[in-house]
This record gives sequence, C-alpha cells and structure tokens, in this order.
Amino acid sequence: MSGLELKGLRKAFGLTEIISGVDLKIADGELVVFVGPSGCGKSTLLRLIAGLENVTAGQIVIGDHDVTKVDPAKRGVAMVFQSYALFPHMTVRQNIGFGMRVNRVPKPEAAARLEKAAALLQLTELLDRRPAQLSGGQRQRVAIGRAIVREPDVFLFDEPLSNLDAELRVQMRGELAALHARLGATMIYVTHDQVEAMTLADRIVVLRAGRVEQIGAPLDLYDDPDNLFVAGFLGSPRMNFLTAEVQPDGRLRPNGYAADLPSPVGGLTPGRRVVLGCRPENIEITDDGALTASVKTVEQLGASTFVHADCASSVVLAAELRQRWSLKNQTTLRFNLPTASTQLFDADTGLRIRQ
Amino acid sequence: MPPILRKALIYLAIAAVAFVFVLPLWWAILSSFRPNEAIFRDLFPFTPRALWPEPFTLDAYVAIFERGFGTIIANTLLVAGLTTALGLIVNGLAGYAFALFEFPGKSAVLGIVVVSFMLPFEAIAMPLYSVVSQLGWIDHVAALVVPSVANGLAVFLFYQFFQQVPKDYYEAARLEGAGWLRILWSVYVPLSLPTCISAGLMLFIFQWEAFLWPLLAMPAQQFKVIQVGMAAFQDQYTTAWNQLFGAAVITALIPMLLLIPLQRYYVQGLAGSGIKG
Repeated sequence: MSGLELKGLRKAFGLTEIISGVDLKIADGELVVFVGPSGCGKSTLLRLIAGLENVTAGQIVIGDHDVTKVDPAKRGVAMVFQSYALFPHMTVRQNIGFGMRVNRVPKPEAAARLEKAAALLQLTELLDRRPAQLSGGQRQRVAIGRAIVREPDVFLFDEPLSNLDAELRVQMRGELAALHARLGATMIYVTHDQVEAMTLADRIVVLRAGRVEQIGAPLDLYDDPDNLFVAGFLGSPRMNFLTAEVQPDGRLRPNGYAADLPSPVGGLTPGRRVVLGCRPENIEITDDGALTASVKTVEQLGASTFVHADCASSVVLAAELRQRWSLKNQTTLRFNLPTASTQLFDADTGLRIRQ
Repeated sequence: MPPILRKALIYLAIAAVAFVFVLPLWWAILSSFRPNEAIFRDLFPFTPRALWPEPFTLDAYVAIFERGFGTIIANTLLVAGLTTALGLIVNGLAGYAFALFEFPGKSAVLGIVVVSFMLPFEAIAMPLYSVVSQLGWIDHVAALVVPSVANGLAVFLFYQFFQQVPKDYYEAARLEGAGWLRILWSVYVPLSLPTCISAGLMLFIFQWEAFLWPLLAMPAQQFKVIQVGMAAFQDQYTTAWNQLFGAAVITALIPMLLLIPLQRYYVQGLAGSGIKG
C-alpha cells in the first residue's frame, strides 16, 4: 500500500490537450473519486496512472517511485474496467488467477490468495463457472477479485458500476465501500455519477475539460463549492442559479424581478453581475416570499416533493420540500432564498465570491 | 391447383436442378468403380444403366495406388499441412500486429496486403519463379511451402477478427503483466478458434488445389503433389479414365473429410463471429 502523487500531468492526443496540468496528492489508504461530465478527461487520467496511455508531460509517483515511464504491469496498480474485461473462455478461477500464472507466483501461494479473495467476494461457489454464466454483479465481483489477488499498491476503478441496473448499483456501491474499509487500500474511482462520488469518496476530484476544478471531501464540496461548475455538478436536482445585479445599496436584484435580496457577501461594487446559488432543499416557499415563479411540474416522491417552477428570465427553479404539496401547474408561488444558505458567484468568471 | 400438387411440382423442379448439379460428381464416382472400357458404354446411346456402377470393380483404385498415388497424397498432405501450420503462425501474428499495434505506414502496408489477395496467382508466377530459382529452391519442398505461407486473405481474416475483440482484454492482460505474445496465445487465440479454423482450411485447400505453381517449381517431377499427379493419368495417347476418376474422387474426398467436422466453425469464422462478454 502506498500513496500516489501527480505532478503537472499533461496528456495531448495530437494537438488536442485532454489533460491540462493536473497536480494531486493522494494519501495512503484514501479513496479518491474522479468525477466530471463525459469528455472531462477523468478516464484518461486513470489510464495515465495505469500506464495504458503515455504521459505527455509531468510525473506520476506511486509510493516513493517515479513510475511515469514504468511498464504498466510493474507500477503496482490493478484496474477494474467498465466492461469488466473478463476473459470469456476462462473460468472465474482462471480469470482471477491469470495474473499470478503470468507472473509465476508459486502455486500454493496463488491458490491461497485466490481462496482468500473468493471468500471475501463470495465467489467460492462460482469459481468453476465462465463469465457468460454469471450475473452482472457477480462479474463485477470477479473483476474486483482479479484486482485484489495482485495485491496492488493502488486500485483503479473505471466506472465499474455503470453497466449494472439501479438496484444492483446501490448494493455494489455498499460492497465497494465495505471492501475499501476492509482492505484499507489506496483506491481511485472514476465515475460520472455524482451520487457514487458523494457516497464513496474520502475526497472528490471534480474535473472539467482536463483541469481540476476543485478537490475536497464530499460534503465540503457540496457545502462550499469554489465555482459555478462544482456547485452545479454536485447535487440533484442541481443548485438553482439566478443571475443578479448589485444595486447601489449593496442588495442584489435578480434579472427579471423588481425585488431586491440581501447579499450574503458585503462590499460588492454596485453594477457588478453576480450569480446567486441556492440548493433546492434550501429554497423557502412562503406566501411572503420576495420572488415569484410559475409551477411547471410537481414530483411527489413520498418522503420529499420536488417542485419545478419557471422564474422570470426563463430560469427553471427546483425546490425540494419535506411536506407533501398539492399545487396545480401554472399556479404562481412565492419563494425566498435564505441569505445564510445562498452562495454568490461572479457571473463572468464563475468563481465563488467569498466574504 | 391443389396445394399437394403444387408442392409436388416444386419438389420436382428442385430435384431436377439438384440432379444437374450432382450428376457430374455422381458420374465421376461411379466411373471410378467401372472398368476403363465400360465407362462410355451406356452413354451413346444413353441408357439408365449409365447411372449405376455396373460392372463394379475396384481395379482403378488398386491401379492408382500401384502407380504411387499414396506417395503423392502423402506429399500433398505434407506440403499442405506445413503451409497450414506455418501459415497460421505467420498470418495470425501479422493480423495481430495490424489490429493492435500502431506503427508508421500501417495503413499502407495493410492496403498492400489487401491488394495482394486480389492479384491472380498467374500474374506473379514468373517473378516468383525467378526469386525461387535464385534461392536455389527449384525442385525443393521449400519452393512449394514458403511462398504460400504468407496469405493476404488469411492476414485480413485475422486482422478483422482481432480488431473486433474489445481492447479492454488486451489492456487487462497487459496490466496483469502479460507480454504481447502471451496475450496473443492466452487470450486472442482461444477467442479466435473459428478464425484459425477458417484460415487454416483456406490455406490447406489453397495448397491442395495448387497445380500451376507445383508444375513450375518442381520440373523434375520427383516430388509430385496431387493435382500434378492427377494430370499424369492422362497421357498423350491413352487416358485411364477410371483411374483419373478414382484419383479425382480421392482428391475431393480428403478436404471434404476435413471440412465436414469443422464446417460449423468455418461458416462462423467467415461470417465474423460475435464475442460473448
């Protein structure tokens, strides 16, 4: 087991830069999730760490060793592929043992490692089956088993749950979290699913267009995003954004409204364009709300209710309510953005404006 | 028209067409079981007895083996078997390289490979002859085997199949520490068995049917292969028709015996088999 460090990592395919300078330090035993929209470079970053792609510039250090130019097999990493990449002509036993056969691990030791991994992943009964005879979740476990027996320094997971159905995904998510707790290994996990990122990660790395947007513990990112992208990416439904202008008295006037709201941050230059961000669960729907919106759809989920409403300036507002709600479509509702749970961003740069 | 009559007519038409196709083959088989002088007896004028091996004799088969046809079969099996074995290795490796590795000029070389199997053999027979004769291989088995080992169509078959195999398999095996040869042997070859069989049969039959090249490359006729050997049954003044037919039947029978058990894979391979995840 050991930590991992990326220093100024860059990757370009021809003239297209996919990874534009990533610096990251991952502690020993940490589970870090790379998250971002498709095309953000998260899978490429993982493949660079694995050695499946060559680095254009920068350094990858695992433990104390610079592995930037080291052969993928000798980096001490094991990868679980999105497709699982189980060899279809081999049994589960042969699949898990493939690497040990290649590396000539002595037979008794190989058998012991295999038995241990199979027991850990509840695969003992399935060892003589072929991948085609397994369910999606079982294949997933075999793929993890193949990684475990290598006893790697770093585990790499490339969207491992995206081929599973919703229910199984939740179950496997739990199993992965338990596995991480049990093995205490350094793990890097790539996903585009922010729920997976939030639930699994010790720390999340949010990527966009080959750059790190923000790194931090899940709730820190959720509560305290550095910019509009991170604020909008984490959380579902996403954070509400209202563009506003700073008034001479320092209050904020959202576009399309005649009402002013108090600013969560003082000392703003009048005339500056800002974005107000407020999470759906923080929106207050009250009769004396300062702003109005027209109800578009109401989703009753039982425990909570989502209201989607059209604001002025054609922004769609999402509000999450604890109580049941029976407003009809097209009704006008009044709402407030509580100042304490509203965040402010610069409308031009998208960066957070902090006190 | 009542349906049963309609059906009967359709079957009759099918039977008639099938008869036309099967007749030459059947006639060859039955003629090989007749004495030479009786072969054309019932044809002019035609009587139904022409369709039955009567009088029945195995003279033709006894005679062809007395004339050394057994050695000829063994020679051909040796040449075709060597070509198949070496061809699978060479063409499989080439297809693997084209499918998995990036190297300068890859598409140009692949283009040449594709063009190579569109060229008729006659077009390269003379240049090939001069190359082989420079090497001093004339009248040597190498002259038959070596030029046939590399086969553009076989390379292309392997290339196409290997390209369809998800790259994840390669990368997963790579991360496990397997080198590219190990990956080829442990992962790609087991997955490509139908392609191996298709390509192998193709190489085998290519050699089995070769006539012009063995005739050119083996002028001394010490080492005869089957097509050349068969032509020898027809000499300038007399033709041993029954022996010629007997040789033809054996020549057709051997690849058929090979093909029938492997037919399932052959069709699957040519149709481009799917990969089960």
